[in-house]
Amino acid sequence: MKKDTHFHILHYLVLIVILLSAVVAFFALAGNHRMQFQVAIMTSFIYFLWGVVHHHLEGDLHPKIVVEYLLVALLAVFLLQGTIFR
Amino acid sequence: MFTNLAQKLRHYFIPHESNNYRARSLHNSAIVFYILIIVIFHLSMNIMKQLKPNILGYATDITIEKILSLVNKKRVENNLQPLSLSDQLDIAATAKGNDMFSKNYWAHISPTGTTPWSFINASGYSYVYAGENLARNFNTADEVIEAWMNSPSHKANILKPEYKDIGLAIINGNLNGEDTTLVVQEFGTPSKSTVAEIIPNTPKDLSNANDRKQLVQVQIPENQLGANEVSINKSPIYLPKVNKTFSLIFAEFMLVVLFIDSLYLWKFKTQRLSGHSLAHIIFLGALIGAMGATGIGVIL
Repeated sequence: MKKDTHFHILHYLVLIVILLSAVVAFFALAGNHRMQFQVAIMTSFIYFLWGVVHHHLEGDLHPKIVVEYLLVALLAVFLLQGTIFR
Repeated sequence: MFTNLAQKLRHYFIPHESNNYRARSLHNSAIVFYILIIVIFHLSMNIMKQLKPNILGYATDITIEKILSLVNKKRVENNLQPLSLSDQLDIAATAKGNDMFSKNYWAHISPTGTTPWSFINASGYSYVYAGENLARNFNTADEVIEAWMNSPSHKANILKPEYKDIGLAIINGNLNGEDTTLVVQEFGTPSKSTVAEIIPNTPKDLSNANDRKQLVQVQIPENQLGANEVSINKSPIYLPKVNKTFSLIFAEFMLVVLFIDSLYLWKFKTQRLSGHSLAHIIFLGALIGAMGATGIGVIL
């Protein structure tokens, strides 16, 4: 149980660091819309990979879960696309 | 009827036996539906913008009058004389803005080497001091002035005691494949001799890098606007704001549903085969944070 908790905390810490870095990069690239969009795509892809790796290590990876992370990542890309480009 | 409505709400927003303990609005098919809605919304907005540029358009709050008023307000606050709007500098700023759109560049000097002073000279304005400031993608005139005043070099131009005249242009167009509201600001001090033919090629003041960064705004007459240039005052709805609001509402809706889902899982310790709602919440939270960095204008 304790090992399980550590596993989750570590994984979520990694996720938070990745996402915080992406948000900082977004602000640093304010005005450079193409680069912002590239960061959005890259971060969404990393999130998808994080989901797959996390569930694989957790032992409950299933195609339905892979599709779910892929769809959430795509949703984020499309939402950001609308705000980045005029 | 109310029972039926409550059942539907529970089915769509609360994990329950009827939705396999995952709110229907979080099922993969629902997310596909959301993506389709977003794509259709963006396509519709873009089509509307092309068909009705006076309904859905560019920045609605940036006008020459406001920029001039705010620049002069800053000058008066610093015990300087207000600047006069010069027809010739207006023409120079308009020409500069049109040149940027036609040659697709964002710089003080064009890819072919044309300097801001070339446009001022061509307008017939004879100067001893001149400068240019540029801005793009801002939503309001206040934001433009604030950005310039926060930049030492642009601020120096706005508050330069020697300047007497200003020219402004606010042009909408497509720059580097992106719809852009461009603000061009040209400053000038007329030479004592007003003979247009006598034009200094290299005023002593222009060697100063700060002066070269001054923003000049030029007003473009309606009849000089190209097909892709729309007067800002005609746009009652600002498209980027509509898109951003739409995306924010959508992301917040997802956050609320995911939060309810997480609470339910935490309370009932339900076992199910799905992604982690907490991870999605963190991801969407970062997404909303990143949205704060979009739609920010840039100056040059």
